[in-house]
Amino acid sequence: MSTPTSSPRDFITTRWSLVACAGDSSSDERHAALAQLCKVYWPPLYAFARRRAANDHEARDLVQGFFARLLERNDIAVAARERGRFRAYLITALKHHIINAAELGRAAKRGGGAAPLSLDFDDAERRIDPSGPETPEEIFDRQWVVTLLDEVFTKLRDEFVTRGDKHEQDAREERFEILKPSIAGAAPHGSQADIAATLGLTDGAVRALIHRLRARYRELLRAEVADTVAHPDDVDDEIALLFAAFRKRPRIA
Amino acid sequence: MTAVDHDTTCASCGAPLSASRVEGLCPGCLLRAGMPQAAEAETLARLLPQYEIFECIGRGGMGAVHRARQKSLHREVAIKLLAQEVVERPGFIERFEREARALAILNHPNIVVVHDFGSVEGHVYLVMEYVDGVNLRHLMRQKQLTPEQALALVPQICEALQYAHERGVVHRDIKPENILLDKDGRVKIADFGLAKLMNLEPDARTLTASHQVMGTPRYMSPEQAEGSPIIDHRADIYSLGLVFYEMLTGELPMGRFEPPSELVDLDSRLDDVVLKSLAKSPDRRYQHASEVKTAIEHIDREPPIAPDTSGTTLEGEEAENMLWACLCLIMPVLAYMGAVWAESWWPLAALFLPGAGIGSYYPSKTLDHSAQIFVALTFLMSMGALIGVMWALESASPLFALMLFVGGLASGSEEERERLRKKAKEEKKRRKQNKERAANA
Ligand SMILES: [Zn+2]
Repeated sequence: MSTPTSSPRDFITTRWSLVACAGDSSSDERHAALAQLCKVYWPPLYAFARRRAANDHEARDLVQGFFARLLERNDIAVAARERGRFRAYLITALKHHIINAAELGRAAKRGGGAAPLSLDFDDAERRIDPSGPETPEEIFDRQWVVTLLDEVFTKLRDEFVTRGDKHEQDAREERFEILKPSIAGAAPHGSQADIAATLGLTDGAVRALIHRLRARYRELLRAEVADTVAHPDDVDDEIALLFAAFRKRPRIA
Repeated sequence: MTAVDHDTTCASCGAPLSASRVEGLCPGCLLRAGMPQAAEAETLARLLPQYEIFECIGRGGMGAVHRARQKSLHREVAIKLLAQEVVERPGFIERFEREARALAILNHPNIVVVHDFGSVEGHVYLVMEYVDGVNLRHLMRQKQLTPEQALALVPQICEALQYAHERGVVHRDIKPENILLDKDGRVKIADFGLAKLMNLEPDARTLTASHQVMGTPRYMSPEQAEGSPIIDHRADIYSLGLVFYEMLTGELPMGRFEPPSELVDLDSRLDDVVLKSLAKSPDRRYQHASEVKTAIEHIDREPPIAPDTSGTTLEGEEAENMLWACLCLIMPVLAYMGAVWAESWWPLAALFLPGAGIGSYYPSKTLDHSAQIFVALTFLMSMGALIGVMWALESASPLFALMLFVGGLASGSEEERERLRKKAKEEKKRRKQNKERAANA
């Protein structure tokens, strides 16, 4: 499936809207879109499950079992429509799954042994702190943001770097690393001049370069977020919500 | 901002950074960079490198306003980046440059100063004085505005309008959002003349839902709403009337509305000012903003004729008048009888003077028919008492008796009562008219 990269206003069909609007798409399309979304956004689920489970093995089983059940369900479109956002849908569904699994025992957690998605749990395990002061929900939201931004950066870097021969690609890779910090915020005083000196470019050229990079970053981020909401108009809201959730400071236990 | 220590919060956005970082960067800042506001701030920073751009402090149909710092002067400013859909209209930039010059010459303590303006790469911006404070909408929403405060603000608004009008600049979009108050409580009116420039006044044909968000039809004069080609400074006076009404009552006059004093405890003479400002025809409004100010200040100086009696019924008023009239009737009668009966006429007779005075003065304030009869009676009795005293006096000095007579006459003088009666009549008439006018508007 190709990634929508144009501005969110230009396309109507986002992945989550594909899943949620049953009337407009075949069940195969819906299934593919959902699987694609799950493949990206499983780490937050794992982080949440990890807090609820006794150990990392149980958390892995919970997540795989959850996906097994999620992907074989037929009523997902109805359920999804009721919850506007993929994020909200996932966390609620996972909570239900965890409750059910506790009642049914280990076999249900594993979902009958099948592993529908191949997921790098070891990497996910390294990235979370199972004993931090955050609530499982806070961890879920934070991991969501990190996952989302990782995805965006992967695409942004690919686009920026993949041009010309190997030699040029190496040079562009280096340039990307130097320019990258400017995406997060207005560069501190004088730093643009430093970048210009490092790259052997004029101040004006660096300014233009940063501007383009940021603009492209923004497009990719918004497209990525649009994929997880039912309507493109919800993108601004979702970003604001994620921002608020991420800034919420953990309570000191 | 981007270089961060472990186990801290981001200095720029406040996000905790202990475990989660993306590419070594703050996820909070990265999310923020994806918001539309970030795009504007960034555009500004790129277009105007001589300014340090801070947060967005306002957003409306005309564009977004950012707080910023002019690096060379270490001066805080507010930069308005005009909405792109307006700027891209053919000929806009030329018209903007021409008209912005007229705005930049406005120099008044109650008007937000335009420091600079220009266009870069197809974007149009205005650099303005930064007002550290709140706008009127904010104040009203928090219910922090008393009618007294409203009365103190309106003259300042009038001064600003009068100043601009004298220089040929009409605001065209007076509304609570554009009336700022700095930390010292001083009024600063923002966005003078911009409405015309932005052509936000929809005519009747194009008044759509989106326009209603963009412009401010709620505060528009009838001639603006109708899309009249001739809009002059009196449109501002109408909008001021609306704002004034809202400040006093907390609501906008819509359809059939009550005069303000019917809704809140107010000097009813203010109804005149508000309703005259709200006259449908510009010719029947105040013709200058300064006249509104003068009218308010006049009311402020002159005490009201009658305390506001919207709480008491007319029956109560009447009963009170009767009581007074009876009292005044009894006093001179007693004085008269006492004077005849006793040789010690002195202190008793003296009573009739204040009695006659009060009797003839007090009821005339809120004269109605029965009270008038009593006043006349009182006056006659007083005269009788006087004659009786003079007769009993015999040997006393006729000069003293004459003084008593003149004093009684003066206190209840027909002339004085006539004046008061006229005033009271006017007041009644005006209340009635205001009610009718409000109902018709
Ligand atoms: Zn940050």
